[in-house]
Amino acid sequence: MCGIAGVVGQGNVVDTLVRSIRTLEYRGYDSCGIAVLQNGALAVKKGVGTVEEVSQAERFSDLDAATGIAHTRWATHGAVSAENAHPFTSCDGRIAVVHNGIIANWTELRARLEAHGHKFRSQTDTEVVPHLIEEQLKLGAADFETAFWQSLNLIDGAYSFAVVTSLEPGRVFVAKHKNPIIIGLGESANYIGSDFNAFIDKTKRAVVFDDDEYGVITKDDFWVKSRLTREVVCKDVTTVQWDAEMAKKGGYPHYMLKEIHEQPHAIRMALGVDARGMAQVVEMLRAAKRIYLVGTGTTYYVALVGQYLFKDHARRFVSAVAADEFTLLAEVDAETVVLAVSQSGETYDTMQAIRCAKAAGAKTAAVVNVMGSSLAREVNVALLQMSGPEISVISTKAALAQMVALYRIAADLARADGTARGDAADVAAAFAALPDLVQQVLNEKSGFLNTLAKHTCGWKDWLFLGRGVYYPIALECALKMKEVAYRHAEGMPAGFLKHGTLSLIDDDICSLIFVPPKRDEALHKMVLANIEQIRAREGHVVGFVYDADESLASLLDERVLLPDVHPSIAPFLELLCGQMFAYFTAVALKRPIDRPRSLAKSVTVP
Amino acid sequence: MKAIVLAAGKGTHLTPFSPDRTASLVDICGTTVLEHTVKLLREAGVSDVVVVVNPAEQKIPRLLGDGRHLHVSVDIVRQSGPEGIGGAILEAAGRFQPGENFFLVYGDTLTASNVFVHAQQSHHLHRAPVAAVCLTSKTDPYGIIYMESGMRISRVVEKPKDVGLGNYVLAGVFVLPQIFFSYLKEASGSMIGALERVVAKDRLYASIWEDDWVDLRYPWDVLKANRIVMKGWDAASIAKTAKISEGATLVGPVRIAEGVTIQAGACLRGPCFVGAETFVGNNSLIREFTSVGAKSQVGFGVELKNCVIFGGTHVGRLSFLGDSVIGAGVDVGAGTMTINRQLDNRAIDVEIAGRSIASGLAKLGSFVGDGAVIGASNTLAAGTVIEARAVVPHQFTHGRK
Repeated sequence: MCGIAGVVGQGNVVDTLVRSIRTLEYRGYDSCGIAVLQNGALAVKKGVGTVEEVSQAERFSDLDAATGIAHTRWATHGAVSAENAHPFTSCDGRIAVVHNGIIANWTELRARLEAHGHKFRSQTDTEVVPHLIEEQLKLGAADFETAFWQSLNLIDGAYSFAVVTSLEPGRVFVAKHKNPIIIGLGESANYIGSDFNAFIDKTKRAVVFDDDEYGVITKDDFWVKSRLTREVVCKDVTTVQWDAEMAKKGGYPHYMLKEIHEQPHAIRMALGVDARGMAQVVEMLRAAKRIYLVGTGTTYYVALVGQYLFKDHARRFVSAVAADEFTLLAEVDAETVVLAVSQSGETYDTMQAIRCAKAAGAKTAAVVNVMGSSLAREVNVALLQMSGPEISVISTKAALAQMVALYRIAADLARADGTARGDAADVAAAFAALPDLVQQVLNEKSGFLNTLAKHTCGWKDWLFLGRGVYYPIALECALKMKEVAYRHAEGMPAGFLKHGTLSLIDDDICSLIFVPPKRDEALHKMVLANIEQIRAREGHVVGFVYDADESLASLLDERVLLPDVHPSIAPFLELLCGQMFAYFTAVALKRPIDRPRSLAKSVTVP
Repeated sequence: MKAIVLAAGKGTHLTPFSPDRTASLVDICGTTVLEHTVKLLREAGVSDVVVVVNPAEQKIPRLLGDGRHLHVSVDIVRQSGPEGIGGAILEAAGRFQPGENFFLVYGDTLTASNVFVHAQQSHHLHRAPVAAVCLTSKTDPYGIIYMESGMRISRVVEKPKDVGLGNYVLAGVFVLPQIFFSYLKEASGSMIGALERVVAKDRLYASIWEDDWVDLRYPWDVLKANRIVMKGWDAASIAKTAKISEGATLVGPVRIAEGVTIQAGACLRGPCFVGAETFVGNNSLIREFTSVGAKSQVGFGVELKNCVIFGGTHVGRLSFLGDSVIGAGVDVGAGTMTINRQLDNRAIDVEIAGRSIASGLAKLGSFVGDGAVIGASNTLAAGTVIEARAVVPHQFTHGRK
């Protein structure tokens, strides 16, 4: 997903353009660029980074123009680099294009254009468009509009385009097929944007494009035509009652809930993680004498879950080390592999750990969400989890997807080692079904988790208890509770109770138990014994459980019952419940969910 | 945009208040649920409201008139055809043009902040029909939905029997296309059947509502609605014409209407509301979340806690009413005591239309219908329902019965 903006106005519109793509950054933020018509010629500036960073580094503010387009990118194909950032220009530099979508037949178009002498500077699909228009003009298209229209007819795929050209100053050309584009009608200025956010501070009057339409805006007019008939389409002007924040959140009340609901997709992407990179990581791990999983905060808990996954699926002990403690603790040499986990790929502590490992000659790899991030660039192999932008400070989908990616690595490693478990095929099938199960739990359990949160939100102190892999799951869920609901929640192994923690059990503390399915017999039995210990001291206990068993129900004051699933994916459904429980507790307590106090999304400082 | 508000229906469960009013006519702090809804619709840019009422409805046309005082155009339609929600909606079909989108609103639900603005924004965002949804502690009285990422609804299910479901439920607010009327006819008036057609043919999106929401289904829901409205108050207001004795104490957001008299020693703890021309006697205590309707009398030494009194009611001296709803024109005798909890703090059951219904509330008093007379010195058990115009004799230990 990318964001497009454009303006034709009076005076200097560069500031407006920069502001527009900044409001569209939720659609992507790994690189950006701008093209304007200055003194009759096109000026293009672009680079890698957020809009804030690039606009300063490339001095966007030096530009002065009344017509322009801009773009913010979230790479899915093609590396993150200045060359691959939009806008793209034609050979003669007189046409500039920004694009949101995928051109399916770009390789053949490019080959044809190259045969006609066009020079390409990037590896992107979009760059064919300015050259294609240029070629149509060379071939004798009557005017620019005709050339644009002919080009659209040659393109196969999903797109929204915005185009400026020095051949037709004071105009921005747009087209839509399957990706959104909207015109905003202002006072002696007209705008375009991927959604209303791009210009909502300027105007609430908008014209929404439908598929197979193209058009033009000028300073005080616009028209829209059908690509199929080339006839003018009469469009309604709608006045939008618009909450810009709500739109960015896709209609969800908070990014956190949106991202929780995006987890089925995030899991699918993580299960299908790049095969070549995966093979490289597996080779690297097989050659290693020592393996460290490194993360910090949530990603440290992901690493801890990874420890259990490597044990369960690959019969390997790997050590999870908190990135901030790594240099103090880890033994690193040339036969060591450090596998880092990070959403942003910019976390200071994790970068330090990786640099320290590299300095000692270790091999490095990463599971990371942001392509082109420092971490992705600095490790030997970066596996992109492709979860899409995560905006909420509270990590949900990125963490769950990382755990799934670690399972994939462990399973592939076991296959290569020849140590795969006997039921590996069953486990793989269970993971393949996980996205649908997550969707089912989201639909069918939200009400129970919300009710539980309403009943229990008064408790200020919590113990989150689990055994085995449910222990790091408990840690991660307790962290969610602390981050978003500001409730003191301690995650710990349930086995710790009798070694001290039982003394805390009284009327003022509530325990949340992560109970495994009954099929996980040994673990199930141990956890039940722990619940008994708390009940014996009249402690209040709530649980996430899989069996409807009365003997278990009678031990719990309240419970959320989950559908019966394969034990190897059960922990992930409990993580989902923990995320939702923290979310609904925060809703009940009216916390500022996406912007919790004292926290930032990406911790890039020591 | 136009809106249909459904204000017909029998409100069977809202006994003992339902024979005298539909849920949309329940008075919350001097404003009916219906007026509250129309005001919020107006704020969301709705100019025309079609209100569907029972065939013999007298009060709603009188209350709304042509809507001018609420700055909307009101069109009253009587439900003379088939019964049920589908039948009610179809009565309004002739008011809408092909291609037009409209709000459909159940008149027995109430939200404090504006659910309509929220639904409309979802509608603009998805450019598709929208159903507001929310989470409730029980799903069985409602239609539930299944959704995919991106909030697109994949399935609607009517009043599920499966107790294992905790889905988002339909909150009674929709933005629908005019073709919905045809779907309703095709589905023989079934709301769920028609929504299924929207899901299949037009796409239907959820608009998640996380703020407070109440469906006035049972009499205790009146207390919930009252609480929702009062929770939003952050300031006190006292009408110029109110006469408040020097010795009275007012604390917090207390709202006092025109012509109220409050005598010395009375203590009012906000949020609470006293309706126009009501008299509050000496040394009475009106506690948080109490609403006393217009033209009522609260006698000496009365304590009111989390109560809604509809108006024209007389509460005799030294009474205690807690967690209770008292209808209009009720005479509560001196020394009446409502019990509002069980000794073991169990949740209280209430007999509604011959069935025992779990309220889920540990504190609940009595529900007294319009025009009932309660003799002096009665003690009412938790969860008591006294029918409208019933007479409960005095209780005494000496003298002639």
